[in-house]
Amino acid sequence: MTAANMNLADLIGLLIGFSFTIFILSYILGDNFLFRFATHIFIGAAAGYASVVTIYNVILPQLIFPLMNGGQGEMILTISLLIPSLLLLAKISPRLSKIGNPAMAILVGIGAAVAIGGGIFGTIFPQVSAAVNVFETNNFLEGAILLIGTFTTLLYFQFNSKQSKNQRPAIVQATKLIRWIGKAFIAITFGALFAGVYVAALTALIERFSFLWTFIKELVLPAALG
Amino acid sequence: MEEIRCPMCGKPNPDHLETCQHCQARLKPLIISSDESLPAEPDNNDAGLPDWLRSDQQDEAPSEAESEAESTPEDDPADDDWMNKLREEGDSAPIDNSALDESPVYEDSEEGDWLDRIKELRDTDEEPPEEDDSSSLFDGALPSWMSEGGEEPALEESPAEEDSSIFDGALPSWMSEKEEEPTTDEVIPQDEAPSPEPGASIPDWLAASEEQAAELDKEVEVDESELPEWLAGSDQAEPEPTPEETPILFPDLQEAAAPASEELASAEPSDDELPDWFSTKAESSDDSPPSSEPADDELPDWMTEPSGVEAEPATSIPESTPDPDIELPAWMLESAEDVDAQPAAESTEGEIPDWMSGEEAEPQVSTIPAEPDPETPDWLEKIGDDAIPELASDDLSPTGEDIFKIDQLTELLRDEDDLQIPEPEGAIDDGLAPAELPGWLEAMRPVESSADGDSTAEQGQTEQTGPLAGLSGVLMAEPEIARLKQAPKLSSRLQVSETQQEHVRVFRELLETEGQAEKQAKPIVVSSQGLLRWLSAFFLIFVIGLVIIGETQFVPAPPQASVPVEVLNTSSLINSLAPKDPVLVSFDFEPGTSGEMNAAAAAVVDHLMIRGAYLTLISTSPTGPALAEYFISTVQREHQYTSGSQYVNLGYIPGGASGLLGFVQMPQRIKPLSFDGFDPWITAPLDGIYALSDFKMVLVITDNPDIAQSWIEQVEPRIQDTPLITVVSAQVEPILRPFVGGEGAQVRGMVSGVIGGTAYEQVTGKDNLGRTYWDALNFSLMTAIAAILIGGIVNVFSILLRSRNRGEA
Repeated sequence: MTAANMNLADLIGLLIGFSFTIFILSYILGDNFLFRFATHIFIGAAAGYASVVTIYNVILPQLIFPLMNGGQGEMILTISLLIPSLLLLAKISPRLSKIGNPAMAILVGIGAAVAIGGGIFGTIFPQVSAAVNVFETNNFLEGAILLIGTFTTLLYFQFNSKQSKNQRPAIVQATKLIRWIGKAFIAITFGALFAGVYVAALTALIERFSFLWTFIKELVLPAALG
Repeated sequence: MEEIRCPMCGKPNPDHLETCQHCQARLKPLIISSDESLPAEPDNNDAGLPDWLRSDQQDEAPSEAESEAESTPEDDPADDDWMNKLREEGDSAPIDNSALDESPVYEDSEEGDWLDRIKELRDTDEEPPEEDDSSSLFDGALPSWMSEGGEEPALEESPAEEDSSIFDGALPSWMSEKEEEPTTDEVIPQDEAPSPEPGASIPDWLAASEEQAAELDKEVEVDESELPEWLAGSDQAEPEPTPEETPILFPDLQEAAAPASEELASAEPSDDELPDWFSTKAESSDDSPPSSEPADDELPDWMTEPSGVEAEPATSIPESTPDPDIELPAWMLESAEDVDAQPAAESTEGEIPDWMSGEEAEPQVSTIPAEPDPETPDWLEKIGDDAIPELASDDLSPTGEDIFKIDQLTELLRDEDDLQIPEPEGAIDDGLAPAELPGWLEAMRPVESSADGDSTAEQGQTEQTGPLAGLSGVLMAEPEIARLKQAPKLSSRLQVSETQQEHVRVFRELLETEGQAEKQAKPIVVSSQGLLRWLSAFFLIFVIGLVIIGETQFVPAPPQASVPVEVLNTSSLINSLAPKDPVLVSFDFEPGTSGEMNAAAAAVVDHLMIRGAYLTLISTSPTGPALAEYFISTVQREHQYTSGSQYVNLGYIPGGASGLLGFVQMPQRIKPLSFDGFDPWITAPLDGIYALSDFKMVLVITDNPDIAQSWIEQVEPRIQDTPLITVVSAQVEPILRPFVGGEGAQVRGMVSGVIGGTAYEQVTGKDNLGRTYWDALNFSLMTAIAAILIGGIVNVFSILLRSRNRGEA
């Protein structure tokens, strides 16, 4: 890709991308105007873009167009959904916010039900089944590690202790050992997560440097070298 | 401007006002000069003495200090109150005695200055001054002991008249005698009258005072201008006063008596030089007019009671025996010394005042048969008969040296009321009814002389200033709070117990420790955090830049054998797709991670396109549709996929998990239009798609584990046999790993990050963005690992060095 075979929009997009990349990388010198300017632009552009996408991709096709072009049943359904949507607008005013509570209650209730149902049937049961099935495979070691890791990690968050008469509450030594093992698994998990975050960030940096070098190599250097 | 607070209402007033501007109360009290009203240094021993005794003491005080300069007229004790007023009376013009008849009752009898009232009577007298009246006036105005000394010569020349005895009953004879004394000095010229012998016509104590005054005149030359008027006037009136004839203590008295001197000179003295009141009393027994002469029952008690004391004199006198430590008045001492110095034979009764002669006669009375002396008053005889003998027998020495006990005499005079307190039974037995004092006589009674200290104390504080001066027991005009008081002395030391002291100590220690900075271990300060950051950034940027610019591929791609199972499963699943199979691809990542996600998903999507699958793009993030378009048009531009034919972008699904669930259940209703605005359900990619299970594969590209989990929880259970594969960021892989597995796993295949993408490229055999970033990623990771190792080693050495230093310390 060279500047010659690039349209103006792409060229402007590349220039803007290059500039804002430099602005963001200027943070290595500390907080400065260029960094703040770039972050503000990104935040504003993302919000504006999200609004436009919502309008053109949600409101118009699912609310306006059914009212305008939909059938009677579709209009009735749309109006029945429009009313609670308008009541949600009352949440803007603190004085009228109670009007939007029913619609908000429906949304929260539905969201909670979806999350709970998905968690039970999409995570807990399948994970329990997968943990059991690990031993059905021939990889006993992997299954054992998964079982020990899961068991010890859950016991790590067990804070009950036995209290004898006239003695201070004490945790059994075996529980302490299990908790220590669980803590080790948690530490390894956090290490893996940190490594994944670091790799993701490092990849983003590499991608940006690659973009910069590509921009320079294909646009700046040909122009500079003639 | 200063302010004066009103004693009545308490409001402030300017200091120049005499009365309160609010309540009209007097702000400045009427203050009698302390020199005149109060003795300069009141002696405690004189507390019980009447004013006239105290003033006489003060009169004698300067005479004792003969050589002192305090004997100037300003400091002359003759400035006493009653003397000053008496002096003013002498300066006053006509004396009106008629007022005595008109208003004999004196309401100010409690004032104590009973001499003032006598002078007031003189002032209110309407009748022209008559010599006889004047003489009678002074007969009553002065105590007999005063008038007696001067009266003796006059008594020899002037007969007593009836008018002159008007006040005889009102005043004691010893006062009238004293008053008449200067009169005789005026009446008898010095050249004509024979000069009285010292000690004959003037009491010795007066003579001594005269002698002292004469010596003072000689020693101290007093300027005439500095002298007060009364003293100067006396000098003018008597250009050549002889010390014997003119007592220096009473010059004004002489002037006051001057108009009546001639008449007094012609007046016949009473029989045998008796006091007037004695003579009048004697006459009254025969033919005295009742109107002009008070009866015996009208006499005050203190005058009549001495006669009654004879009933029980011994009971009162011993109680009034003075303390020998009490200092005697100077004048009394001198008089006593004079009396003692004179031989008894030389002292004639006529030369000694009656009251003194009576006292001196007591020893004789005790030894000599009672023979009433014509010059001795009855009350003295009574005392001489009863009371004095007790003193003589008990207190006085038998040698006769202490014949005249002034202390006892003073107490006797002082406690006259005490003498009359016990009702004499003898008087009742003798048929003498107790006398009732008339009002005017009661008013003239020298209350202070008879009142003892205890009664005064009971009555309250004596008013010192203002028109009520001298009155005791007067309600205070000023509120108690307005009076100046000395602040109560409160102890400034706190009563602190040991426990409280311990608490104070602990609290003080806490406060001291609060003010001190806590000692903190110095943190290990790297030379500069910025420098370390600069070094890290420099090495990373240098390595990454070097690799990218060099477009090196030093690091070999992961071998085929080392490709993860999930990557292989993903590849196999894609390989199982037939051309034009519908595949649902979800772009649920943010622009910030687009670089990684593009590199991870490039090989997978490229593989799908290679397989000729129709792609349906969807996103639960608002930015997802745009990123999907960018990915298809940029990253996978070589495949020339066109929207609506090979792929369709359904756009954004709002509502998160709920929207995703709705999309699973009713895809056409949730997404009726594509991201481009056309009906996607009539396009080739969505042809025959009515549910998500109709898709041959669901590919989720996400950098968010929650979104991945939502897809797994909400979509995977409802897509039945449709495999769900994921292309996730490296940071999501640990979380999604439990869902990834073999055939029974929820996620059939997974490609994670650049590493997974590069591995997938190795599986497909086609390099893509993963391989581009592979070297840079590996070098940067090695740089990071090296930095971590170097940092760890430095920390270990620093800890060891620190522990070693602690061990040495």
